[in-house]
Amino acid sequence: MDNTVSSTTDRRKPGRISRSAVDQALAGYLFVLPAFVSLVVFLLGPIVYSFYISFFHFSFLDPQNASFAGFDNYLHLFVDPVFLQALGNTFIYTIGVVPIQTAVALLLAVIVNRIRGKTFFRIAYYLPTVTSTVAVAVMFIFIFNPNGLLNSFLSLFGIQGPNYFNDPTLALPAVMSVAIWSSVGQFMIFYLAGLQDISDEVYEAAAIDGASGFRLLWSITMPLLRRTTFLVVVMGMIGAFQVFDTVYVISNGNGGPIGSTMTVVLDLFNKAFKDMQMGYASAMAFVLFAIILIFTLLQNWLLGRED
Amino acid sequence: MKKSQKWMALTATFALGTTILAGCSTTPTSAAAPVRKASAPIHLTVGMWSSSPAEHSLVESQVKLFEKQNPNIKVSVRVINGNYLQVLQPMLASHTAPDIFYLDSSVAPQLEASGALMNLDQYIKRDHVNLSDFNPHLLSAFKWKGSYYGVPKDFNSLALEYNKSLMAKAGIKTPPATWQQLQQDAVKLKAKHIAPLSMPVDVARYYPFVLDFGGNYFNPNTNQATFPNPKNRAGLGYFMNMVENGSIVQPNALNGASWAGQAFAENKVAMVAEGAWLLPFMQQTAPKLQYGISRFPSYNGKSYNMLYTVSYSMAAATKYPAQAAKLLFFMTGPAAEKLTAQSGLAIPSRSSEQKYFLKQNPSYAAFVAGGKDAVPYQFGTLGQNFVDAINNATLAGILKKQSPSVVLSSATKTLSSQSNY
Repeated sequence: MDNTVSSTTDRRKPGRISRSAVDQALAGYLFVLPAFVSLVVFLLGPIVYSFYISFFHFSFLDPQNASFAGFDNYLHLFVDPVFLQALGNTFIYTIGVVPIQTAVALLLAVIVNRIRGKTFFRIAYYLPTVTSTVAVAVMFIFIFNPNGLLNSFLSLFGIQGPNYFNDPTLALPAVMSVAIWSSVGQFMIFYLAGLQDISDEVYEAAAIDGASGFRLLWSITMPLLRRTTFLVVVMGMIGAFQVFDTVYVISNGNGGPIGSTMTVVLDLFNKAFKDMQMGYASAMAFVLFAIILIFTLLQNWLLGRED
Repeated sequence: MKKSQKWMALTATFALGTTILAGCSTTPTSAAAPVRKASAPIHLTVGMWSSSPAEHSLVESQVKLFEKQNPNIKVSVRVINGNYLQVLQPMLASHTAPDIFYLDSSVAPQLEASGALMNLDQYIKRDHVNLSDFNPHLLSAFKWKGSYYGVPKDFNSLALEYNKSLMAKAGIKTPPATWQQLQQDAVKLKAKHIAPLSMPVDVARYYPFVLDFGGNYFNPNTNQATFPNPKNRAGLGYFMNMVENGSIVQPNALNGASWAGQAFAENKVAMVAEGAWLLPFMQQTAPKLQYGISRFPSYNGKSYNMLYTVSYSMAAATKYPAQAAKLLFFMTGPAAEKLTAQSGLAIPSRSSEQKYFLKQNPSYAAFVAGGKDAVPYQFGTLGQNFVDAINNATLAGILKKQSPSVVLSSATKTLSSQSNY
């Protein structure tokens, strides 16, 4: 019995399944093809090509005369004062923006989660995220204007406010506050989703044990939100390292005053499209990629581990 | 930002590709040129940016005039606004750029050196273009290694614009003609709590100081920066001192103005040193403000000025260089320049049309005169790196009260770290 059954299935299976398998595979590949082709043409292709030209002295205008540079582009980055300043600014920016925006997002989420009129606050805090960063930057130019909103407010108390965006020590913190304001809403939504996953029973059990208030937040909410925090920190860090549009608008594209708002991506853009040093700019892009990768892996190791 | 530009360039490539294909499909062979002339028209494209709808319609009317004279050539106008150079660059690289296009003198050397532009020498000879009608400084802005890569279409220079009522308040009757007089007037203005002169700390505006004192930042013959030249210290020092003593106020210190013209229109400053682009802006934002225009101040009889000029240049990859050259010379020729002069939108580059232009627009006299002793705003292939290096060093010098020689050596150091990569 066993033999006959298995032999019949053996006879039928290969033919039928292989035909349908081919059909299915073909249909599958056909459906995937447009997405795959556009991925290769518009994403993978440019990335590979960009990696390739990062080893050349390459100008967009004169691709035929590109000369092989080996690691020159990469090595030069570490003695280029403009890039080093941009890298320093980007680090300061990231260190300033990510912790504050994560903390504020968590705080807002915890408050909004309990408050009446939840939906209204969710929309209100999320709105800055869907606003174009260029529009946000223009709005903050008005706020930080020497006679703008903020300084007019300060003058009510008799304080003469500074010229924020034109003071080399204040320009970067001003840009950081713009970034925090506009991205907090998005991360608050992430935290809200995380909070919804924590069941009330945990809190009830903790309450029975006598925990309350801040202790609940510290010992129950935060540990249980660890995965969300990992996501928020990583996303926030990637966004911070790639900051471009705000500083581009605020400094008119030159990273001023005296390079205090020059960031890596702004420097990259200027090198590629103003100085036409595409090879050098590509090298910059891959160094930035490596930095982001290293920090993400580091955070994965610190925050993302299961117990 | 980057993504959208990529798409812009891409759609531009497609759009241009189709027009070129449309032009090609009807041409049988390249050898059969006379046949083609009679049967199928040639399509050319003009690339431009447009500061106003009026500028676009001016170019359209110039193009129409050309098409009337050359019925076998059809010309379309392509307006690229925003990041012009960033859009043009990939188009030049992929050989889909317009046949002829606007090119600003500040970036011209980089494109000329790259080989993306057509050498116009042989066409200038063939079409007997009279170059002596142009100010030689204007022509030199588009000359690279002895050859011409563009013909200037218009130009701008700096003048001194002064607010009549603010000057009268401080008892100043005539605008200052020299920097010494300006400093004396500045004292009177400051006594009345009026900001004297607004100028950005930008080499594009203060370079005339350096030249007036006999220095220079750049040697066009060697394509090298010459910051360490000891003669530079006096001119730079004079400018930095004027900023420090408050004769010159930076625009952003005046109510956070984005440029000097804004502060001027808002009645916040007595004088500015801007180009003729200020005039339409004032007409729009402060039509009632009474102001006069005089020559850019001089020092010890030297009255150097900056020349901002835009050419028509030709893409090296154009399919019809002979016809494109014809169009280029027409767009910079007397007939087209006459239309420019009539429109009053820009100062025509041809001296022959400037007289007619001044009769129509007498207020531009100081700008036209300023073009005579001017150097083009360009620093060879050093381009933006040069400008960023010296501007950052100068601003840092003013903020940190450094000496001019420290500023110049820090600019040298920054620039040398940026070049050739």
